[in-house]
Amino acid sequence: MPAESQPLIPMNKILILLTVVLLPGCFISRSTVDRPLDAALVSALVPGETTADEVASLMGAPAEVVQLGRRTAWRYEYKVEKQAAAFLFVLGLRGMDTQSDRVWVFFDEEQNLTHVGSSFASDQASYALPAL
Amino acid sequence: MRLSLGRWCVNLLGAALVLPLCGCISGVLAEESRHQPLTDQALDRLVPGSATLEDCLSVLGAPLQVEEHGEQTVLIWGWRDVRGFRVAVSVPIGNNSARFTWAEEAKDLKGAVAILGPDQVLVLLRRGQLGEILPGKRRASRLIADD
Repeated sequence: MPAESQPLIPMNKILILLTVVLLPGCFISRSTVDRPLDAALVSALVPGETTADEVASLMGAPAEVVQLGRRTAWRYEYKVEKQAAAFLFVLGLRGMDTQSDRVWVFFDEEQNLTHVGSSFASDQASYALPAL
Repeated sequence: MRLSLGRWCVNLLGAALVLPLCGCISGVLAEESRHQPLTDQALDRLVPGSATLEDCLSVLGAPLQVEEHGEQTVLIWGWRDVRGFRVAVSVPIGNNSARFTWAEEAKDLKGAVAILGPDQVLVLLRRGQLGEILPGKRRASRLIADD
């Protein structure tokens, strides 16, 4: 009966070694800045009627106050950042998407609301890896 | 004792093989998106001399930033959509790590800048790289004394 030749290193050990060496490291992460903005609250702001006190009581403290001469502008923002990454040996793929809901309210020198500008895009942030 | 050229090359080759294994050198294909880009069609709707602050906000949405430049109000929109390959080298030195990165991707945001006069009418609308089109002089916020 002929003797079977044994491989120098068993196949299962090779597979384990390859898995350990080539095992891709990957992660996804989601981070936010400040609280989500309520579009319904923003639509309740009426230029010429709403005052700064009412805006503050409805939406809370702004993230930023900018002085424009005797006028002021307040910024509210909710930012979402999503990241996805995969690493295979020495090659990495990484995607990052940052979107935000943003509202600027403008007041005259009597602290009455004059203008509102809003953009809502935080829900459009996505996890995406760049395609090779 | 001097190392021969051959020995030096072997050492260099060894380092080139070992460093990636240690995770000291890595190549990363990265893609980054920030904020929503403005379309040329939207920007074309704003005509200096007639468009107002209200028009700017309704057509372009909320800006990233609002600034005061003298008596003018500056609205700034910006976005970024880049993709590039970069090689990162990180060499452990004691408890610290020296890190060098070469990136192909542009660092500045693309964007648009609307400059409005004291009457809240659009004076100038610029578009391009924000680093190039932002007004140079920035005034810090300050208190105003009542007359």
